[in-house]
Amino acid sequence: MPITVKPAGVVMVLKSPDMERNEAFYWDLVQKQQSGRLAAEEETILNAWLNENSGHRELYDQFLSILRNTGSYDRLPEQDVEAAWAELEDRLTAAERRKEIPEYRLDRYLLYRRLLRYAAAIILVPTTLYLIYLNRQSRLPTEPSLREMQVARTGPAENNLVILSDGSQAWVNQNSSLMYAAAFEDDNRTVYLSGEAFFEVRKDPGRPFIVLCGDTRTEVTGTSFHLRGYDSEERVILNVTSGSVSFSLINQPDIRLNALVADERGEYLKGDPRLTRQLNDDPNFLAWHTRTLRFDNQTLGHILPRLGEYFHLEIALKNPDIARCRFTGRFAQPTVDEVMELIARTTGLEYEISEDILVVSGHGCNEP
Amino acid sequence: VDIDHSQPLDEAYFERLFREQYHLLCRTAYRLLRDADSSRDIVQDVFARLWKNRHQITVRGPYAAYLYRATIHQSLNYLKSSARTLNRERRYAESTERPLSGSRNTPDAHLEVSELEQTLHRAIDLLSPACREVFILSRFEEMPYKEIAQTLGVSVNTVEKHMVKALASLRAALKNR
Repeated sequence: MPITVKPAGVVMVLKSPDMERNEAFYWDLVQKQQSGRLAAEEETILNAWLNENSGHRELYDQFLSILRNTGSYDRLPEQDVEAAWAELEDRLTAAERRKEIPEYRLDRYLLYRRLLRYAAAIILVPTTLYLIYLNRQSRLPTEPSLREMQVARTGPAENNLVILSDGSQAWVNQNSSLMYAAAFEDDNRTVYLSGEAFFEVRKDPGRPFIVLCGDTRTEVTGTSFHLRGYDSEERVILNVTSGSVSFSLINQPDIRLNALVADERGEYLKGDPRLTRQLNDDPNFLAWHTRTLRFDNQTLGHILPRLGEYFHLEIALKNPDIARCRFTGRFAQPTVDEVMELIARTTGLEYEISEDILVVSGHGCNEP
Repeated sequence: VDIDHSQPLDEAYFERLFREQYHLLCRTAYRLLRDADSSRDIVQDVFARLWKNRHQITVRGPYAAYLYRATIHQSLNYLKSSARTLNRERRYAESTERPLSGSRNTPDAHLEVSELEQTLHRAIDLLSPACREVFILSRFEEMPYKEIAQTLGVSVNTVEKHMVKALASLRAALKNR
């Protein structure tokens, strides 16, 4: 997921209401004004701002210019609706005949269709064709054929269970995608992950289960593990929960951790050609899946960022000493208020949530 | 266009929706993708899914609004998932196709667009992906920042920061002409 949480201990300065009114705020007003959606009180604010100084007027003129000269950004030539409808009808009837439309289609498939469309043009230049051929050849060993792949994709705050053809299960966390074959091959079970997932793999010693994620390759025969490798994050993290797992780099197979076992963690820092093995000391790494949270005498500096990630909130502390308070508690399927009320009561703090920001205030604690 | 959407979608209505909304939805996808072919594919997908799932999904509000939201989401997902794997191939495809099929990737070429408009279009194209998405959702979809934040899965704060950056870039483009 995109990290919306500040690292532990960082204290954010809250914005005063005045600072809220940045350029984005006035852009929104100007836009509403131009499309006749401006409320009376907003008009007052806008006019007051315009009368404040000539700099604001200049900004206003620039906003108008941007609005007026970007309207053509999305102009497309007239589309052939008839041809498009015919294509859709074909596709739906074909699917009905096959009694299924793949739930998720492949981006690669879109590209493939587009390439087909331009094939006529491409064929005119044999060298181009040759290059594409080479390009495809070079991809063959690692990428399976286009047709049999499926993709399960999740949006923000969404997670899904995918049952693979061998009976293995993958819980895919938010903003992730998992690409897998509708039916695995005979000698291996390979899936492609971008984002975060928890796998419970059926035992099948003759057919290794392989997850390719970023630069990393995770191989098991039958076990459960958690893998997190978002494009937006600098690390790929593997947490083993049972069995034994091998973790390596795709392009440097000799860089590998063999036999990671339960409660061990393998970590890869993108760009740094090594893997590290450590103990998994975070009881909440699977909170998104188990819907449970557990804190054992940890500081709020540690706890609050985790709550922020779990509940999709930003965290703001009004006083840095708040981060030093400690808290112990366990929660099953909690709401943010259930957690925060207990924390507030036991530490003498107060909290409120507005605009997706969890604001914590109070004296805080002095103990180191 | 008003419909009783407690009724399941029938074939005639589905076809009418397609004919009415197709071009607008292509444009919606096109703003984000800047590629006419991918945009058409996305819209085809959105309709195919609606048809396939017509008995399962409950559409709140008019179908057109649902189609519109789905197109935006699909386009954003497409941008996100294709950022790594596809861009390489797309760049490759474009560099080889361009000499043959002309300027299909410079859409302004066929249309009557002023120099100032072209400058701004280019400035929008050159925004960082996050800034561009925020700007487009605000400028064209007229979404409030809170809704943009929900759509993109980031905080309102972040959205505003991206918006300020986007505006600064576009204002610079105005000045530097």
